[in-house]
Amino acid sequence: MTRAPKSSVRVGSTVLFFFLEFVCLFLIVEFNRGKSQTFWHSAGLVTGTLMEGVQFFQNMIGQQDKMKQIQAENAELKSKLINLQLSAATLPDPPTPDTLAQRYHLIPGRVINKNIIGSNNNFTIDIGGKDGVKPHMGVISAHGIVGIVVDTSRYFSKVMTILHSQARIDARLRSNKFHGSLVWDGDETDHLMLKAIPKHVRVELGDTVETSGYTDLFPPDILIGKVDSLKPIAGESTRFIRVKLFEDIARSQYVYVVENLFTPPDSLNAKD
Amino acid sequence: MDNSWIRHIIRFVALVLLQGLIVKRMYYGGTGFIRIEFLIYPLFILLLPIFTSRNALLAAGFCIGILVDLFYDSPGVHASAAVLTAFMRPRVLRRFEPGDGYEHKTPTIRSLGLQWFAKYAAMLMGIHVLAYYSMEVFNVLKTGQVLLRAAWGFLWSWALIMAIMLTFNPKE
Repeated sequence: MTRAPKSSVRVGSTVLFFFLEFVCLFLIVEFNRGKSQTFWHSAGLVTGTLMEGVQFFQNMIGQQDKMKQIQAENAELKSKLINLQLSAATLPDPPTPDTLAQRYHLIPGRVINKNIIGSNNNFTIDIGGKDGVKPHMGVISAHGIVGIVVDTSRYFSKVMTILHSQARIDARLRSNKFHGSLVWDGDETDHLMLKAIPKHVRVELGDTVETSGYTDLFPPDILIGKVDSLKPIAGESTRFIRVKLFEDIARSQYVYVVENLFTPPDSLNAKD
Repeated sequence: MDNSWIRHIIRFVALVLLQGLIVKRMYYGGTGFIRIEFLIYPLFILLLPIFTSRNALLAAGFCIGILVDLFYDSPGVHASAAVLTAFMRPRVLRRFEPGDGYEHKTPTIRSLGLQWFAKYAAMLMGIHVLAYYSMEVFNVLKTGQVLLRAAWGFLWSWALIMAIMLTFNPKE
């Protein structure tokens, strides 16, 4: 007959308990909120490779759908290209040498691990340093923005999605070009909050929200979502604008990392 | 002599991989009242031998938590909940101790009965999910969100753990 263990080692184990909880708390505060270290996330080779394996089987099951999706994306890209060529035809006269210089280069990648769980959501994508991906590059997909690269290893990259308590994206209203900061309130994965737009600005429900292009991360005019509802904040000169996302982040599979070819050398960006 | 520890190591590895590669994907939530998410790895802590020392329990809890964290990109979050669960287990065991003490090595349905195990699992899983979601959200102002997710998480996880136990019905 075994009695449940009683008090002999109790003090020691309580000390161990507090020690381990302290270690955990340290890890949570140190690595979960901002940029993480490669060791701790799935851009690490072991979990990354395992997850790629599971994703492979998942992809085999849904192959048909994926093909359709890629075709749709390609169609959209092609049409954008045509539009660009058209608008290029109407550009300055005489054109300056850099009028048609390519500013943004898209690196295609596939999401191999998703963490749309809780308040800090990350993706792992199957492209990394060898493909030219660097930290602090924007990530977009067919219908909108997805997130920001926070860390890369040679073969994988970790993307902090816009569904993350630390993510701040500069975005503007298409109709009047007022811009604010887009953040996630940690609950609904299909909505973001656009903050810092003054109360006096007239905001139409259904107005499109797009990237402003004021940061190096994203090209301007990338679609994000549409205004869903407005919420005043007592005692503040701004209000929350609830934005319904076009992209279902939880389901995005094919993404493009935005390489900004005009980014100044790192020395100028150092402060970040 | 006694090599039941091999069983526990296999269980450890299987539960980490199951949680990190498969159960993690069985997730639905964030767009309404209904949430679906499962935590099954605490089953490892639940099924450790009754006489496991408190220190070994805490170490085991920390190890499984930190490994699950590797898959969730959340260093420390699962680990802190698992350590708390391991810390509370001897207390829960003592509370639910049958009148004549524990006669078996491990707390399972086969050794202590369905009703006993259901209560035991509910108690420890309740502690675990509350700790996990509190750490995960990490914001006192979002207590409502913690409670909603914890309630759903508890329901699904407990049901899955009971289903696993009833299916495999391990002796120890």
